[in-house]
Amino acid sequence: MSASGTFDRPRFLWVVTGLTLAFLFVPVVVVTVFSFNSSASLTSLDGASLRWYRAFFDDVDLLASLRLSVVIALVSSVASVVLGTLVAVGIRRGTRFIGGPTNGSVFLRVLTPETATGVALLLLFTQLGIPLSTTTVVISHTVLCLAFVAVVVGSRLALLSPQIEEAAMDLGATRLHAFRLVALPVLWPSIVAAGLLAFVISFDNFITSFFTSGLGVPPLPVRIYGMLKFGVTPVVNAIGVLMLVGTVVAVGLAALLAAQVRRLRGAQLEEAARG
Amino acid sequence: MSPDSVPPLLRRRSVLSGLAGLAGITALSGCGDDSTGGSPQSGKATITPEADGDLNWFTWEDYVEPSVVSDFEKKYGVKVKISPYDSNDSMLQKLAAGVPYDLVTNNSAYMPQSIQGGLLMPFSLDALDNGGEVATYFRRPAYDNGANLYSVPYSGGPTGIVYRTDKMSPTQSWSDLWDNDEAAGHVFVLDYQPDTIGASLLRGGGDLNSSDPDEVGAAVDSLIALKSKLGGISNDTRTNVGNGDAWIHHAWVPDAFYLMKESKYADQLDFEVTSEDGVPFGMDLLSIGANAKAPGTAMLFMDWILSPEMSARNVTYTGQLAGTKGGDAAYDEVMKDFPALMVPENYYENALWREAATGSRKDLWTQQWNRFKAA
Amino acid sequence: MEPIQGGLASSRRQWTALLLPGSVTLAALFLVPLGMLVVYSFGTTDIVGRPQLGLTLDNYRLVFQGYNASVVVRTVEYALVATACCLVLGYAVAYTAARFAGRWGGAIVGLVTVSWLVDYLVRIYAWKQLLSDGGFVNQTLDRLGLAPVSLTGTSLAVVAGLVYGYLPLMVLPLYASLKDLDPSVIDAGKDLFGNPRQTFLHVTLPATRQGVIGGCLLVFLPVLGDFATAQFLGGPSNTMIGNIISDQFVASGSQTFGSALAVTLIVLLVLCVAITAVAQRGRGRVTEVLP
Repeated sequence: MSASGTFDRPRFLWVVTGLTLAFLFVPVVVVTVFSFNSSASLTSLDGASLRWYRAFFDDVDLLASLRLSVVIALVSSVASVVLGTLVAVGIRRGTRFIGGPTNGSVFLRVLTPETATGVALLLLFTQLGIPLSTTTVVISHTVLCLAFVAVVVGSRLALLSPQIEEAAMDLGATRLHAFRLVALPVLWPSIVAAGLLAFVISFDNFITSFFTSGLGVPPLPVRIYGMLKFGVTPVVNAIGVLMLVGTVVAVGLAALLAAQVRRLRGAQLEEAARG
Repeated sequence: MSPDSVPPLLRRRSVLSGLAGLAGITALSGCGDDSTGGSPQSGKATITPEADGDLNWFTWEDYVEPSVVSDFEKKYGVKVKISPYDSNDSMLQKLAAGVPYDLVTNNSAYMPQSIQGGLLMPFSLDALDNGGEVATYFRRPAYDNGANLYSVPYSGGPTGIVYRTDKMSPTQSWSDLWDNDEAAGHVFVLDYQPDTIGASLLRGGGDLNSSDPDEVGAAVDSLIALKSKLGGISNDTRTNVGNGDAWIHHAWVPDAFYLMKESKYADQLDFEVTSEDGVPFGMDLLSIGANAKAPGTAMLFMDWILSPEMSARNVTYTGQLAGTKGGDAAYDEVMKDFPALMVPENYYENALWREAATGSRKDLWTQQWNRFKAA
Repeated sequence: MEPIQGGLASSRRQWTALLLPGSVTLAALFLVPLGMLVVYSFGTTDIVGRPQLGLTLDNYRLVFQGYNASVVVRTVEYALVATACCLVLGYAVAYTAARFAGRWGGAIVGLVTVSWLVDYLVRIYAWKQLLSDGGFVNQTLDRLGLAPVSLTGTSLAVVAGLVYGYLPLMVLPLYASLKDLDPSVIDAGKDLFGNPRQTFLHVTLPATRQGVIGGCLLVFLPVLGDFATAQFLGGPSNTMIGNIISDQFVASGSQTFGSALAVTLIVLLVLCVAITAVAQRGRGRVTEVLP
């Protein structure tokens, strides 16, 4: 068959998908393998050991940084998912007068270099007399992630025809109720995806974290950045692996929970349709 | 806080009120107090060294021998919380934003600005038990020679070249970065404007801190010509040399020292200072932040670091001079194995001190540096 | 997509009320700092580098120096190539996940995101270790008796790094729009056009236009401001505009010049997007391009 058939040939697509996933996972594998390396070398393997994991768990400061970053990422991803989803919906369904400029800001936020806004935020907090703290980091991360959430949820929302909701309303539901029954279940996967994205963006963030954090325990990326620059990488690899495993477990649990919720929702919806 | 002591903050606020006017956000005016202002404390320097809270130290990552910190914590029952930064410039920005760091690792090149900007608290060496340990030069150094003293020496060294002995023979000149054709693609220069333009200036016989547009322009022209042989412009010396990408790397001593002790290529590495052209020098210093909440603990810690024993531990760890009698004696001892790093008598007095650019010189250097990066 | 329905105004008000918290947050913590950048771009700096109010055009004069042009051109090239690669790879992944993977589709998209869970810098350093002259790839080549190759410090390394870093942002919106595409539409297209390629070009691709545009913007725009990739994987001649901007804020640069550079970049990008939007027949508003 000619190349023209490629887009309906699963085998070809599976190969591309497999290779792409491999491309994404090569460094993850490297990080994992070298986290068990018994020597500090990052270019040659010298036998297996848990040395770097022990080193990490013995390092009180690093553990504190990790805990702080998890908290920051959790709070700011939840906040940005709530705000961002409302923004995405509001832009589509609300008054143009506010929706338009908000949409514009979301768009500008995505394209403004973070180094510039990071420093601007630092100067803003300074001039308002707000001392830099974990709160200022959380607030700054929330704004950063909000835009990405709005874009991801919005792209899904764009495909949703309001007519279905109207049909539900014809059946007697209020507008918000109809939205909850009809649109939300459809949006749910993209909201979860956006939440994950927000978590990752916040957890990984160095620039904004550096400029908006104050005294005390520095967020993990600020530590990692310094450690990488100064060659202390094996411990950093161990942290990466632990984070990966931790988050995968958490996401797996969340997915199970979501499936459960969906099943309940489905039952509700059926009931509503029947009633 | 007297009104005349807060001009930097007022100047900054004016930017916001200008913006508020533009944006019509009148509600913002009058917000906030001066809690984050960087105000110089006028008058006498009267901080006494005594534990008055946990110590917040703003410093480079991996820049202190760990036991120096843990022993201090044990002895005085306070925590030392380290906030790491990764460039002198971002250090200055956070400090200028008024974050209440108790102790700051500042750099000699940035000292005049930090003092003029009111970012630091003055103190007296006499209040420190180990004040007498401070080498003569640092009692009234060129960068800190006003009525008050704002710094004690911490750690410093020359900028030079770390190189693979199997790939290059040193000529003690910056030309080693330019003239090794076989190493093309494996030569790295630092991503640090003052040192990189500085090296090119020295190589061309110019002034390390030149403000002559033609001289600086010519220095950057030769840097651009060097680009075809460069593997990168980077401060990640430890990674670049450690993974084999770099054979000849423009470098600071702590990174070179680390590589010569611990890397895969340790046996094939050496460091050279460019005594033929001129050796740029800078000293990292300890200072107390203007908004410090525990200046007493900061004083205690400075006193601790200046002691011969702690000073020696740090020297052994970073491979740099300490600016103290005990530390520099230890340095001579440590460097017996690294002859390239040995220093002559009256080193500080005769060194070529780097100065950070301000005003029109800063504009000139910034634009020339961008021209180099962009090319 | 206006709902033709009674109570329209009141429902709009309801939605607007829900929109407000997000709008206010964005205004206070993004638009105000952005406004400050605009103001600073006309200002000067004090002795410790803090921006001061002023009314000078010096910063903009410096933006339009000839040597900046080469960086801009290089950056746009990298961003276009990286976006195109992301689109092709991302479409293949999203299509497989949405059409052939059944209930594993979500898992594939999950995997794409999971790779992000290891800190970005840690992964970039892992690439460096792999591709460096003394790294795994070159050691293996050496063992096989082949000549070593320099893999980092090239344009290729930077573009590959960008694709690597931004691919998930392409996959997410594409998957969402492909998932919503009714498979019977594609089947109908097959009946109509006979061959898969035509079906793809005339049916599938247009139907997922929103996802394609959304994904491309999500990749293209941030890539234009990216600096980490070129800094860690690039060589001396791979500098992107994001590096020059970031130098002004985190290294020995000038914040006011950095502001002017950032503002110029933003204005240019807004113009680009506006032109794209206008070029799209019947879709005059910029706001229609991004959902």
